[in-house]
Amino acid sequence: MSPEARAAPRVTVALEKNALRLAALNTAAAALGLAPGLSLADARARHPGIEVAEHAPEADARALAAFADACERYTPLLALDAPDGLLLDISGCAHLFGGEKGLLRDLIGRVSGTGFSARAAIAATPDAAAALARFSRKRGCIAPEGTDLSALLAPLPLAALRPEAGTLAALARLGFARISDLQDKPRAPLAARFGAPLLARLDAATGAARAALEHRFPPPRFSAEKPLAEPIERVEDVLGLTHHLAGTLAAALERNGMGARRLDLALFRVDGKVTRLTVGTGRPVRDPAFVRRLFAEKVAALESLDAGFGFDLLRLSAPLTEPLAHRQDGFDAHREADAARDALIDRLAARLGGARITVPVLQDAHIPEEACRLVPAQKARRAFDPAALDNPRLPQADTDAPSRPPRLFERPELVEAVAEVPDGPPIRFRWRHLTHHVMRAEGPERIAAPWWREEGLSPTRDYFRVETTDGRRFWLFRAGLFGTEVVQPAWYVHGLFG
Amino acid sequence: MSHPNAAAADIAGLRRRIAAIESGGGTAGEPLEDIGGWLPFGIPAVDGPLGGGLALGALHEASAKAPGTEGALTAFGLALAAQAAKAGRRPVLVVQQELAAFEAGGLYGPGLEEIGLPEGTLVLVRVRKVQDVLLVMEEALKCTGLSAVLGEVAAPLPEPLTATRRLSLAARAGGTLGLLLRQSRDPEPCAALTRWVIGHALSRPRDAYGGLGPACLSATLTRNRHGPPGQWTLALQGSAFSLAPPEGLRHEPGDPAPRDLRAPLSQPVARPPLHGPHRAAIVA
Repeated sequence: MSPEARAAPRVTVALEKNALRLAALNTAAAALGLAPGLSLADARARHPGIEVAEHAPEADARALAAFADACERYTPLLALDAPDGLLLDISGCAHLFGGEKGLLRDLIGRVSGTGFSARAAIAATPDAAAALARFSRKRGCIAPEGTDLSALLAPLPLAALRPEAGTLAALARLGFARISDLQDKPRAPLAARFGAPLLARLDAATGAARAALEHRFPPPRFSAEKPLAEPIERVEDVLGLTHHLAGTLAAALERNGMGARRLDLALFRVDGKVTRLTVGTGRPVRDPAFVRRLFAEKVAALESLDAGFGFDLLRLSAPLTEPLAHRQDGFDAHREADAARDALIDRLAARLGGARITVPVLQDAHIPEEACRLVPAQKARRAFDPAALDNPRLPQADTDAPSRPPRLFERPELVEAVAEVPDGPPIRFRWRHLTHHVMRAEGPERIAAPWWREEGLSPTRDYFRVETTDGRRFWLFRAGLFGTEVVQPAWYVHGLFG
Repeated sequence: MSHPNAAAADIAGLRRRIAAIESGGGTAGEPLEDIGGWLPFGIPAVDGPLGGGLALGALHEASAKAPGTEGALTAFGLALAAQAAKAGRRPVLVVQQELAAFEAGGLYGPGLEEIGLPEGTLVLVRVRKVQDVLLVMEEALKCTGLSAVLGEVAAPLPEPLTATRRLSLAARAGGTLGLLLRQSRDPEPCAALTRWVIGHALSRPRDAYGGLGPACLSATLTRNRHGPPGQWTLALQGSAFSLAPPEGLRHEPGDPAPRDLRAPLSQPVARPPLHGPHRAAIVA
């Protein structure tokens, strides 16, 4: 936005109490004496030249989330203070940015660089910091450790405590305007008149009571980061640094006897955008070279890693970990094979997405399509057991053909069939524009819908295994019992045999 | 710095390496055992021309004879995979193009179990593009933790010779059986060690009352590096192949006509579901 455009008075409006009212305004509009809550008609009557736009809370929330991402460079402990604030827990972080003053300057500088204006404050409690940031005269305000917060907050208006709108209006009617007006009043009548939350907020702000922050993302226990003096752009550099970070992380994980099941890589761009890459693994890992390969697959799947003007901070964290004991590698070829296979699955999952690599898991269900479920291979914790291959479940002795097809259609396909009534096998049927004549058939195998299920009660199915005159084998079923359940039962192809 | 003799030695070394790579598919002069063993069909008539069976550590290609014969193609591929898994004591990986699964149905656990691939012995990867099938196959063939890798494609391969050549080299590196299943025939040249065309064949009735016997499929070996091509009708029971009895034996004059059965008990009756929850109770 050009400076001229910024200098023009602009407001956003939202429908509230059956009138379009101002929701937010820029500095120029505020200088004209407009305020949020004024109806648009009044504002236009006073100043016809104001520019009006629709208020978009979702876009505001998105912008705030983008700022939250960018602010993660200062601390992983971060909470949203919707609609327009962020709370950063910088305990033990400030010295990395040249002290509290340096951090505040860096933060305001970065936000101004994106065209927004920011106000920030550092104080011992989050509520005091939020109040000071919004209502202090200075843009960047620091209340050093040990400052008397009650004295500092006393001159601020009561709105700084953010009581509910009704409470604020009632307090104003009674002549309470500033926080100092409340501080010397007896607490019991105040609590009786305005409820406990008002005093709780006051106590939280002054530090008399502790308030908990709800973090945006749960802080990971294991994390390693690397700030860079000179931004990097090339994918190889990013992967090289990831390898380095993974080495740092591996040392920490190893000390605790843990391995990572999920790894997040956050790439902080110079202009504030954050790219997050996540890879999951099937078993706990900490080998840096393997972690690098996983991220290399992930980046390869992305097609391009938009580096903009470069990344100047990388953080690798392990939000999900599992115990990984030290193991003496032996000469067991099978264990080696298992490890190679797990590594392959992890690599493929990083490249294609974990949901695409599955294992079929049998379910205890009658309905054929529910008897088998595809479970992501990384989540299926069942190890390969070679003994299962030796005693396969063969077709029963009364038939030579398998009873279930190796291929099943996700949705049974409707066919036009000619069949003997009431429950004979089909004589011929038409599937995908081709007529098949049935040579031999086995069946019916009757499968009824589970009666204990109320909803979606599907008709009873009679399954037939048929072979056509040219040798194709199909698994067909008739939906519904002739005459009792339906008048004209429909036929479906559900699977293909060998 | 660079001596002319040293350069010549380098070039000779490179030539040797290229020769070694070129012989990767297994030329006539190479000892066959080097490839990594065989997967016999168990039928002398088939194993003979192949030189002992399907070569492990190599790529083989099978395509469906006509649209609609994907069932036979799948059974052929899965049966070979099950045999490889049993011999190699390792699971198999199947990578399917989504379109292939859409056309002919997805792989179904209970059916796989009856073909010899019980739960836990198969990893299924589904991808959208043919290129991804090739990529996954190549990665998987290099992995030592698998005994067979099946790739199923519904579309023609881009640059088939290069693609299959890469897969052959990967299979050789990993010692894994590679099997490319194609839902449509492609006359383009291909670097696979053997090429098969799989179609359906009429099976023999189980008994005098009809009923389904072992499924039969017609397997045509159109390309074979180790011997002559051939054509066989194979019967498949579980994961075991056998030669189907000759056509003449299938409809003996004494046999009742297959569909001329309206007498009581002529139809085979339903048998208890194999996988149902109450199976034990029914059998008892």
